[in-house]
Amino acid sequence: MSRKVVVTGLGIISALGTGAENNMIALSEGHTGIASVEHLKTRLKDEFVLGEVKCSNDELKHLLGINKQLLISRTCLLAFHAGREALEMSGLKEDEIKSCGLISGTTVGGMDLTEQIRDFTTEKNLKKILSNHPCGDTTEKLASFLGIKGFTTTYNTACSSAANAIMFAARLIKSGRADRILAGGTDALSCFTLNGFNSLMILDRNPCRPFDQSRSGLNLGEGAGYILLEAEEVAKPGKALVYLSGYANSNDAHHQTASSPEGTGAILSMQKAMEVAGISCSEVSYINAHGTGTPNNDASEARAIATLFGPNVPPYSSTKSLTGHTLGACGGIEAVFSVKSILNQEIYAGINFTLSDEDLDISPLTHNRKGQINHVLSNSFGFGGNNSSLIFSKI
Amino acid sequence: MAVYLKASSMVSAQDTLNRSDMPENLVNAENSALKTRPCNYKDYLPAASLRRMSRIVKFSLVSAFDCLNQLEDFTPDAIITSTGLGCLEDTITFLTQMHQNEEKLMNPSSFIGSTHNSIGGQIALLKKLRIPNLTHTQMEGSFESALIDAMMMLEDGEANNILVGGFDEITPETILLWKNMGCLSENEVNRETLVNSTNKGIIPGEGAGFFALSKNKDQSSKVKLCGIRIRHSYNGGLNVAVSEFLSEYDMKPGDIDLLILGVDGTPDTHTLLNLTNNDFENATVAAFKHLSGSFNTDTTFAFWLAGCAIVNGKIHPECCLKGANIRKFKHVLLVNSSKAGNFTFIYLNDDLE
Repeated sequence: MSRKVVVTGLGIISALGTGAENNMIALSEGHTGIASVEHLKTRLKDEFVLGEVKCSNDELKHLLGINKQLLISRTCLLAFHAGREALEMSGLKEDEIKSCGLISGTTVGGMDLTEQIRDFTTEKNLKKILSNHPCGDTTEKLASFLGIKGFTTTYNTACSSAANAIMFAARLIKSGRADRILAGGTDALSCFTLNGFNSLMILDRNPCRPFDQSRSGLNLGEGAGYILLEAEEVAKPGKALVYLSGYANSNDAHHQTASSPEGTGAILSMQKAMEVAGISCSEVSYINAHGTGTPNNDASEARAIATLFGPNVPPYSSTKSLTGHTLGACGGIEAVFSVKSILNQEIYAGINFTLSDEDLDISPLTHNRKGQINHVLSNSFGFGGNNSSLIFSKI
Repeated sequence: MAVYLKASSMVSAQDTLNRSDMPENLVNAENSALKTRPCNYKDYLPAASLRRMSRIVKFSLVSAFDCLNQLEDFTPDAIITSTGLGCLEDTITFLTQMHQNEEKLMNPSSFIGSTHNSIGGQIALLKKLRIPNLTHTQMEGSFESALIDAMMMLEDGEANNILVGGFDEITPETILLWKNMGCLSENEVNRETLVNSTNKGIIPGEGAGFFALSKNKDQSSKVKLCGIRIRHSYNGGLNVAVSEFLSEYDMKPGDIDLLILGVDGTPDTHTLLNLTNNDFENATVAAFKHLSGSFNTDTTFAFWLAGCAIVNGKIHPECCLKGANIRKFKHVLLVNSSKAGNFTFIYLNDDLE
């Protein structure tokens, strides 16, 4: 069986705001969500800017109607917001939600709670806190919050987690094993990841500048992005927004944390995704790049785009200049942006770009642009050489 | 469509590496935990990279490479790994360093090693495999989730050969945590006490199992993997859920020769034993968690055991809860449960026709 997969619901929470509408206003006006640290309790508070969701945990709970006293990770709270919005938009009935599957990506799970334990021998809430720790627990809690009882699982492939979750969901639906799956990812900011990326010396102290010659690192962000995928034949009339037409994952096999200078893995994943979608390079209308703002990623990704697309390089940009790098969630958040680009027939430039690398004769989009947008390619690359690409197509 | 198990490798508390059966002499838990047997890492891994690898990375890579080394003409088209908690030693090291150094002058090694997909990434890196590389993490269903992914890729023609594996580790800190939370077994767990005990805790364990799956059959195809299922909710009881699962393969419980159960000595897993009350009248019933210890991906050990049982026509008497331990095992079913009340089923057989 080979069925077409459609997107029927979108849900997002990021530094740009709560919900798809607020995110799209910020994106189209070029408002950045990257700012001084307000919520994360870290000693590095004054040293870095972050793409924080502008709500405390209590505010997030209030918006969700959850008891303030409930011990729950921020990663879960973010997921609840985005997951709920995607299901509401899709208009699924209770029994349809029940049989729906859930594939989620996350890299930190409940780390935001675990890292607050200073002494494991004296902590009174140890069992409760640690039960939130596994990545898989975040997904189970999300399923339970939404009333989903179908196949539920989690990917953690670092920064490509959500993209891989969406790919897995698409494969399950395309082959007839499932009709409906909510897929995407969630990650809250944590001191663990902030210190991790700081120790790797790939954080920029100032707002990041993806693909710009002066770029010197990424800004971490947080959020969640989920899309509801359905087989075209079961989607309700008028609900299908776009097709998820292509997907692929490959491995760079170059270095544990860095990308190869040629972008071998990135070329493989983009190429394979286009094959699955049945489209050629010249048909891609826009690339929502991984574009973290690190010297290594952006050089490798831009090189891969230049090599693969040759004379047909489509407009490309990184929305991480506005949201920050949301790690396990970015594939979900950027999937929402990609779908919106097709629906609004508009592509979004991101900010802070002036000049390309000297050895590169391509450059990213610098202004939002209206036009015919048929196919959007979205890249998510992670540690371990993990490269994933998704393609969304106009119906 | 059929999926064949071509090679298996298990690193565990028992002497299972490099073997296709259970060793005669078994190891008991020490200080209430079952740690993996030390292996000779240098036989499998480049000496220069050993220094930077944590224990779980090393023993998991040993398992992966041992599995690949058994086959001459096996080129994987995908690597699918699974882990419940990822690389805990590195995670704890980085957290401790972060607290002690007050977020200053942090060493990145343990952060790099802490990611759940670092082992999948290392396999790709060391073997130069530029192929899909995915990591599932769904607590006690992690390995089954990876198997479902692998089977799908093979069935849908996305791959001919796949290396699939699962791994988790214990550290002195996690054993202490289990103890402080009252989750550690207060008594020794053996074949008898697995079934009858009222232990509140378990014997934590660790290990890594890797398996070469293929849709092509040849002389190295030993076992057929027929189906995997994760049940998050079920109506009508476990017996009904199992029967439903088996009926998809035109099988019924009475056809099963070997039933491997994830009993761990706590009352939580006694539900599994109810399966043997009426149905499964022809099955030898086996257990494994007293030998592997309990960990999120411990069904890798059961999966390895199932393969060995089919090939050898016997299981170690210490695994055997009921029935003959030496006989032909044609149809094998694994049933495991999670703390959250989910169940997983894996059905294998020797049908290589």
